[in-house]
Amino acid sequence: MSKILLLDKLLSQYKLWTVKLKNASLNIENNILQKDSSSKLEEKIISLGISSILVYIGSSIVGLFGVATGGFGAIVLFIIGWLLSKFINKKIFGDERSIESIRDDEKLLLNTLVEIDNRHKGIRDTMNSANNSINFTNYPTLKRELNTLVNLLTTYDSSSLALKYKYKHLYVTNKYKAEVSRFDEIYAHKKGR
Amino acid sequence: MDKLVKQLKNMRNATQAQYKEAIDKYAYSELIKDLKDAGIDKDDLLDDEFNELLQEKIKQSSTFAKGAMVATGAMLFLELLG
Repeated sequence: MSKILLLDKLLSQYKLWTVKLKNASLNIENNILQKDSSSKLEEKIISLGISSILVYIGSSIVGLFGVATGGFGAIVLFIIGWLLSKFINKKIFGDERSIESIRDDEKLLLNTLVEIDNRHKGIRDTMNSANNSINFTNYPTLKRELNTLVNLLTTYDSSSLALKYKYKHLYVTNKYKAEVSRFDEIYAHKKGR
Repeated sequence: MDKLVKQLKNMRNATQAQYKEAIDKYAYSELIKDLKDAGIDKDDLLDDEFNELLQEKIKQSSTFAKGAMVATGAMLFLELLG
């Protein structure tokens, strides 16, 4: 009886895990494609900040020579600051990347993510549809696939990403690794019995 | 996600709280759909588990939705600046 309860528990945990894995995959994909549209807002706020600071500093320096900068001078300084901030923002936030424009190794990584998600979705669907199915098989193969993906993620060359996404890559990779560890707990637990 | 962005763009005079409510509602329905696809009933999950998933979904949804929200009020001014 306790074994049946344990099996039910592990099956539920595995199904839930597939949802979490999908989320972790989506976060990685969105990061590589630089899809965070909230950056647009951050960019504009930073641009305003840089422009205002430049107007303040510029006016202060010119003021030291006893010349007042108002009106036109301030507008010119603001425009210079705005253009400068565009360049800085490009380095920090970048632009959204299309699938076609990314490198081959990045395409391979994204394809591997999708393949693994689909593989586990298939296993989950089998669990949901068949009454007498044998569950938690092929652990070594599934584990090997996940390890290959983790290796791709940890050795990923993030030089093409903007600064924000470069740092975020470490975070989303760690989240994915946590899900891989969780896979061991759920799937290998049954395997070992 | 396009559905949510379209919905938010149509809410031109909405307050920040109304935007948040729309995003939360969207995230909730998407999560319920994901769980149903996975063969899981919401009631089978612990509150903590469900909330963790919901927060993740809200985060993903708002990441995309903020771009649409730029088109309102003071944000429109920022948008016009380029």
